[in-house]
Amino acid sequence: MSLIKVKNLKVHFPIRGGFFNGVVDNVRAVDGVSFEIQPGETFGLVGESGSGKSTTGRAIIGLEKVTSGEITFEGHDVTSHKDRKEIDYDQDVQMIFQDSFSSLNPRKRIESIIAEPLKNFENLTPEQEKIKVLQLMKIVGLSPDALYKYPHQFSGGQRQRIGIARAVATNPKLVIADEPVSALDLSVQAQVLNFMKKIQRNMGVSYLFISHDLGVVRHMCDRIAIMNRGQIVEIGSREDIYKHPKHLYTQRLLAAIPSTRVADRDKDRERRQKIEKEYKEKQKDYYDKEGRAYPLVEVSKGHLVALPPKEALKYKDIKEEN
Amino acid sequence: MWKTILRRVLIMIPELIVLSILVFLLAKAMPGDPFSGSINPKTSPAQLHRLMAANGLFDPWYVQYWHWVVNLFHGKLGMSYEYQMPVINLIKQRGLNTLWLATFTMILTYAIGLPLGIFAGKHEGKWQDTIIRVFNYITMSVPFFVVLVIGIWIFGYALGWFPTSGSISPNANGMGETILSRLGHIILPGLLGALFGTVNIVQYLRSQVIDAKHSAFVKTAVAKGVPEKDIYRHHIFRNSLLPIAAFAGYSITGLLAGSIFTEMIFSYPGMGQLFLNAVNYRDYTVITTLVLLYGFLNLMGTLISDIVLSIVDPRIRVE
Amino acid sequence: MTESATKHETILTVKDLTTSFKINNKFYKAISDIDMKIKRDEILAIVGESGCGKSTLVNSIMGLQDPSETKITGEIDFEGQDLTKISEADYNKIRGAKIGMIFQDPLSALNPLKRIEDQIEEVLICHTDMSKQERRARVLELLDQVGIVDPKRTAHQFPHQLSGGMRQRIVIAIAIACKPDFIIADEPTTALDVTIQAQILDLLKDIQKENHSSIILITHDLGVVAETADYVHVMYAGKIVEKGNVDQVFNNPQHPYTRSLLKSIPQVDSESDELYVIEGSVPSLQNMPATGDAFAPRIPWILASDHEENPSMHKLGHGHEVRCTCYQDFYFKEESDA
Repeated sequence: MSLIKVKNLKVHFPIRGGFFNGVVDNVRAVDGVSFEIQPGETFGLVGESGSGKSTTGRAIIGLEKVTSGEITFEGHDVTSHKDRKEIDYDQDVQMIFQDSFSSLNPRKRIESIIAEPLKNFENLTPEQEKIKVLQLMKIVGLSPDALYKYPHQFSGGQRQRIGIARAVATNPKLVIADEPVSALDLSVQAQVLNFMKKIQRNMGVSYLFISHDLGVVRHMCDRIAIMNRGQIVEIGSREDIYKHPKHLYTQRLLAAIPSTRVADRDKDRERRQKIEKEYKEKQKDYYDKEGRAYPLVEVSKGHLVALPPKEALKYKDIKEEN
Repeated sequence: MWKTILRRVLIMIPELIVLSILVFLLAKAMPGDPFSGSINPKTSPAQLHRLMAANGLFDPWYVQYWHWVVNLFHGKLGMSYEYQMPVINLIKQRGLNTLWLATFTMILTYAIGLPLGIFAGKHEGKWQDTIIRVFNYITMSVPFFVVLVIGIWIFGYALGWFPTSGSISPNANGMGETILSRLGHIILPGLLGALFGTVNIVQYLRSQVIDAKHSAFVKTAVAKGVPEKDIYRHHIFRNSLLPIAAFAGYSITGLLAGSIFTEMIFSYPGMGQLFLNAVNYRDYTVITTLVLLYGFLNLMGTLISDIVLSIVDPRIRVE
Repeated sequence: MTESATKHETILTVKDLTTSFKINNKFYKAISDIDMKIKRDEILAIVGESGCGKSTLVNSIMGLQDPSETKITGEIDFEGQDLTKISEADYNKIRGAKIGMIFQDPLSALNPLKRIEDQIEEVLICHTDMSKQERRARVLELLDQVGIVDPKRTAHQFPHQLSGGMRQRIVIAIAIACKPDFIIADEPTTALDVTIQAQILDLLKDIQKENHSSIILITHDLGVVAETADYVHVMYAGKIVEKGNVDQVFNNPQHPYTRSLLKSIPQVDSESDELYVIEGSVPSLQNMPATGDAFAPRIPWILASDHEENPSMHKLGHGHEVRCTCYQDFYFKEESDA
């Protein structure tokens, strides 16, 4: 059974306007997103700004009101706040934010910041609590003398590690990481990513890894969904997405990543501009009149692409033959 | 943009209705009736009852409210119990005095506050800035009425430069003399009020200028090769003054509140003094009218600010 | 002037530049020992992590620092003038006209209350004697040049009405309005999406080729450097630690810092679960060591005797230079374990 299952999730924000300031339209921030995450897996949600990737993450943890759709966690419906309270959802699902500084209370010491979720969900004696906090700090490579310091006394990378320690304090089953390393320098980023991987190995946690950085996503994720305009346009294994991208938008996104292969740079640039040109010409084929992506079709096992109806037909035929 | 303004004005209508109902209910809740004080002591309770019925005092409240509103529009605000004259005339007279003082105070406030705020912001951290800030902190920490009392004592009594009460000298003849005498009476209260009013402007403008000075778009302007004085003129001043201009509407509220102190201490026959006296003498018709008027002016102030802001700031402007 | 003569013309020379900031009445060196040259027709990337001084360096060239808080020594030679010594009025004749600058965050770099055309026109008012009509025409021409689809419409808009990519195009239009020989781009694509980044970098490259100008590109993104730059300077803790052409730096990196940085990028083909981590952290301005190699504490397994007391640049031929002798004996820690 999958750990979490998101089915046709929609989060719409009303646009107010007109004379009486009524709702004239909706921003379809998330517009029918479906995916599953397996226990112990890292699932990547990739897209550009405004693609709806962060809103999806926030809706799953309950920070955003779900317009319609269904979220099931270990078989329980957790779409509404009431449903979530009936199981240990708030304990089992935690979040790491991009801006760790503003998510940490500046007036609290690290000890109480990390201990906060423990206090909320577990009955521990002060000694047990302290031991647990020290263990957590060790997991993310912080020395015990950091216990009594305040958030501003740490560097960006250290603060992000504190955020991770807090997120995994209650042994969650799923951690939603929203751009966890985007604000960090390369060398610090490597360290944070290593800790995230180590925690996964030791605790078996699943990650919903939300990022715009395709390089980091490739390193971290087992399966990846590409989001554009609130919808998933392609979903598949790391191999599927990076080696055999099928959707035009995925191809464009991949081609745009600057590479460190100096020798190939003219070739890369040519390819990128070719795809960009193709994207301009063929973009309309990949989206319907309302700018929505077409339904996902399975092109190979576990690899789903929002192909235009004409191309999708090919794959449907193959499937039926099988 | 006209749509925005019209919508904003329309929003004011329910606000005004709620305000007037509150004031009306306040008036109803006050003890006494409009006749007890003015009728012949020999009038029998039955006669009084009939008189009250004839004047609609036993109608349902909304009917009475409706009559009250209709009267309001006809300027029939009732009689002042204390001054024995129609409230409308009283307020016309006093309102004019307050208008003089408030306008003068406002002009002075901005005339002093704007240059000081800009100057302090421009010289952030230097001695000029320090002096202005020290002055600001002192003014902020001393209660307004203390400033007024000290001011009136030094410049009114000790030095005798300015009159200490009234709005106009009874000996003033002719247009020129009248205006001079009026000015003479408002200079000291206006100046002291302005001194106090500048504190917020200076503080706010200073931080606006400092923010603008360190903003990325000013860095862009420097990188464009724009000379410093032009950067101040075209980018820093403009951007920091716009919000101030927009807040001018809100300052009406502050002025009205301030005028109550000033007029009382300077025995200046304006609305503020009228209000305090009315409260003292339980002059209910005057109180309700003034509360309504103050409320109305407050709403107008916000309206003006909102409209100005929507005009000057393209980010708010709806296209 | 012949084509080859222009090709080698030096546009800017920086000699022994040091910039110090005042913190609590004490001056701390943010950058020091900076020697660099930029020639016509080349893109020089300055790469390093936050706090390495790369932005300080270009702000010093542009004269954008508050003089009461900053002390600059050394020489910045631009067209025969030493920029560290000229008056503010003379600087204003250079900024915007001969040196254009592009900033990281295009939204805050534009005045929110001014129309796009006014913001571009301002630079023309400062540096040309064009008539109002000529200026307006030039604004439309520039908007077209930076790839704005509907210049007339955009000219009348305000910054908040444009997308991030379009705003950055406006900032570029301002920078190139007076056809400067030299453009400084400070993290021009950091705030943008990756597809927009690619477009903006292409645009910069096209403009540079068309005008035969030079660009200093400040970035922390090694991919952007590899795709865009001709020459690279790597900075660490306020000093340039490695110089070379893009091929030398990426395919034959010498300084331990350059090598470590390249190693910590998540690699395409690497199956390894662990990314390479550089131990320790960047020293803060106040804790910068006065002598010795600033990177030494982060590679503690390298002997102290391998470092220089006062690390200097060593020429490796073909313009490749590296600071400190430690590069000769450097190895990665796990290489010795293996």
